[in-house]
Amino acid sequence: MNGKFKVFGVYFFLSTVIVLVMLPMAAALWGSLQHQITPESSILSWSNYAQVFQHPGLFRSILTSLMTASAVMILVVLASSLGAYGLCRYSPPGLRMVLGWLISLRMFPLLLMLIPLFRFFMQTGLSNTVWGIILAQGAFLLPASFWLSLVYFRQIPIEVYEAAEVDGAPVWVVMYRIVWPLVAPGIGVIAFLTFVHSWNDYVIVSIVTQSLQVSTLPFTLVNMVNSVQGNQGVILALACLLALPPIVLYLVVQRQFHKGWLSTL
Amino acid sequence: MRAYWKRTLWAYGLLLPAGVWVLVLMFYPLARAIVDSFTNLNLLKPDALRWIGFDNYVTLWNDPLFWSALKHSLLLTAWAVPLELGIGLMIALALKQPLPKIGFFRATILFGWVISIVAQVIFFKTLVNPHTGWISQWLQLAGLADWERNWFQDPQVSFAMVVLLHVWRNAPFFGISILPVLLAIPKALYESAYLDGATPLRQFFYVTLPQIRWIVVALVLGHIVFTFSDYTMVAVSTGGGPVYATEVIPTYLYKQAWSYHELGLAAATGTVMFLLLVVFAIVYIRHQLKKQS
Repeated sequence: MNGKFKVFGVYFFLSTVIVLVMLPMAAALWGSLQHQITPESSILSWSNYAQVFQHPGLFRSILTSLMTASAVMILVVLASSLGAYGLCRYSPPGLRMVLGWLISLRMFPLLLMLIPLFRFFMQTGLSNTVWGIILAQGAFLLPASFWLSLVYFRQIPIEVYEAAEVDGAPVWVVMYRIVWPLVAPGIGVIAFLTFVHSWNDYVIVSIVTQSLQVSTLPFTLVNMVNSVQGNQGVILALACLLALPPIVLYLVVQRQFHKGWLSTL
Repeated sequence: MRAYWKRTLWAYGLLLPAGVWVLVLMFYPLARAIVDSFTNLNLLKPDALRWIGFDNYVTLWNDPLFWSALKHSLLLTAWAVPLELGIGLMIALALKQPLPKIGFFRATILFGWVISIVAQVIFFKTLVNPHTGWISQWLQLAGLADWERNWFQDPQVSFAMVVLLHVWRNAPFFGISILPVLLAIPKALYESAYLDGATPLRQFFYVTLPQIRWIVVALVLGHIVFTFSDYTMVAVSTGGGPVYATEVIPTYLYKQAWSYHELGLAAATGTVMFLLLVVFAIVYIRHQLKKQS
């Protein structure tokens, strides 16, 4: 009896949590499928989504978001893999100091650093460019993904590196053929986290970008919310499109999330 | 000896791309921002630039809005993080049960954490929208129409709404992070506690809690930093309003810098924020390094 009661309690609690998690998403999805958001309307339609894809500015910011997030993901995974390879393969002197700096970097307040970065980008012409966004987002995502790379690369025994390098194979060949396949799930997690963080980011873009010419989805969206004539249906459709890729990608990698690496972040 | 130098050189050579990237775009801006905080740097008057010592810090000290923002930041952290931990622990304990279909709950519970904060806030605003939102309609159906209010613009509830946004986003993350650690606790520990006559409650306090202590410390420290320095959640939901009721240090800083163009004063605000977080950062770094080695 006690056991049955407990099972019921667990399901009841978890269902409540899931309903609370889904409720705002469901409300927005429902709203995005309405012609006009009034309580009475009940006919579902894709017209808001059609408007998003027909609007050249909105469609362009989706493409910019995709491009930026992909570039950040590739560059950050490459840079942190190379660095972690060096540290794990050679354990150089000063390793502990590098690790200490690496974690402290993640405590630096983003907003404080964005003040000089803004002026630096103005002077170097990186403001209002996709490269400016990529470089700034990448820098802020590097410490965490570097740390995760170390966690995964350390699991590879040093003999594997040594054996691979006996034939004099260059680093990138060893990386591509041996190291990455060995830690493929880990690389998947790092790629997921960098892509999603870049895709979701609002504050860095809002400072690197001063006009809507070069704008990612979250920045475009906030501007629409703040402007008077923003169409509610289109805003909701765009917000749903913003939320969809992270959820889909998460479903692909979610099993990795239950393996305990989160605790290392 | 030559091999030693060769190894070192290789290691740091491979570290070079990441190192340069971080040095130029993180270390330099941080150092520069702290230097800027002692100047009267203004975006619109770049030629009037000069050293003003601690004047910016004195200005902050005398600004009641700064103190109220600091109070709100501390309150927000003090409310959100314990709630996230409490609910997260309950989620982890529930997800730990080996029941049918538990995989479904483990897979979907983190949806709120992976989506953009911008999307999250827009979703919440839709849900609680006065008149058209589902909450408002349900309140009317339940005959509680006078409970209805403009949730994000009512000074009495807007702060609680910001806390809610934080908890909704991060409590499941606490749960999913604690779960693998719970699952790794050896069953024998519970069995011997049971044989000694320990009640479930005592088992939780004397077996479970000591085993998950380190992950709880890491999560709490990390989220103190996140909650204290997050700009987007407040900026998109209330913008710091109504009438500064939800103004926090990050939104205060952002307005100084990008609305009033007072970059020097904003840098001083950020430096204060940084110093407050350094205490937590040091504890966190020691904690992580101990775990890594």
